[in-house]
Amino acid sequence: MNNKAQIGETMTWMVGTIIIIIMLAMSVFILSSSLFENDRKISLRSINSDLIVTKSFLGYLLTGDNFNQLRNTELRLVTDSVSRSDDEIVKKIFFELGSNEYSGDIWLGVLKEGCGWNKDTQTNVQPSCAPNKRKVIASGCITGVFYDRIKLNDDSIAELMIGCKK
Amino acid sequence: MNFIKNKRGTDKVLSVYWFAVLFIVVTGVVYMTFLYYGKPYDVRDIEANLLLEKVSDCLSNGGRLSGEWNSINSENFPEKCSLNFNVEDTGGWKKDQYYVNVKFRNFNEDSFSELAEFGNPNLEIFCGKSVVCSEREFYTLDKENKQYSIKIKSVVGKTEKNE
Repeated sequence: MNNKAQIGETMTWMVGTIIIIIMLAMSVFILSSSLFENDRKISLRSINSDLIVTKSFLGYLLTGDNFNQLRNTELRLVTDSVSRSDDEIVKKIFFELGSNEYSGDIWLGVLKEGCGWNKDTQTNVQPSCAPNKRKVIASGCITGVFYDRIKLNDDSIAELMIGCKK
Repeated sequence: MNFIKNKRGTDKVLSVYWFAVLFIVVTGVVYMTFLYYGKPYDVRDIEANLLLEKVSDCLSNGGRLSGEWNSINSENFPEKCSLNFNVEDTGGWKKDQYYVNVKFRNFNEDSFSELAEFGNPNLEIFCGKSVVCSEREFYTLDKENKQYSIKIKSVVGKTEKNE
């Protein structure tokens, strides 16, 4: 009876040890595999800025009468489905020039300082100067929308929003 | 009496066993920590994009091309854009771990003209394999309001450190 108890206890320890070794070996194997390879790669996608798009946006504002047009209307929405001739340049600048990051709708606007856009739905973007209605939209592609805000010399703010590809 | 003796013996054997298991677990945890944190972070994507942004800043500012952009060529490119391709002393690296290529075109045309290149052009062949490449294009105007598209490609090697 005593011997049986000793054998039982030893068996428990042996099985326990084997399980621990198997679990450790599995953990080491998983860690050394390429599963965590992407964790070691840090990319600019996680940083909320895109200087290249900002440059294109500034170039666009300087082109022709674009700045004044945007300032007067305060908001311009360019979508994939709308194909106004003067929107072609917008699509070409933000979709076709090199970056494959963006798609969907583009919102462009020049607002008075302190004003912003309320983005309630994909198609309903309204300029708003009421602080309590101002919806803060994070920049960068993490939230699915790239948001750029440039302060101009005349104290107005040029804003750009582009849908990001997932 | 016999029972007490056996019990003590069993305890001794088990404590050796217990220490052995503890040793295995600690070794395993240390090894796993080393496996995970021992490898360097691969920041080449950020490096390539920073290089690209620096070159774009050198060529265009505030939406317009700088006055001297037309005079930039492969010879004076590093000097005009303050580029320094010195690298850390690893694996016999010299100044051959980076490459930048700048092309431009009239916005309404399709074909690009080469503006300048600098660095090791052989790296470009390995884009998408062992090296990290970044290519972006932006829209800008010159002083006469002519529309241009500038395409910049930057490549970072440093494969030995990031395998």
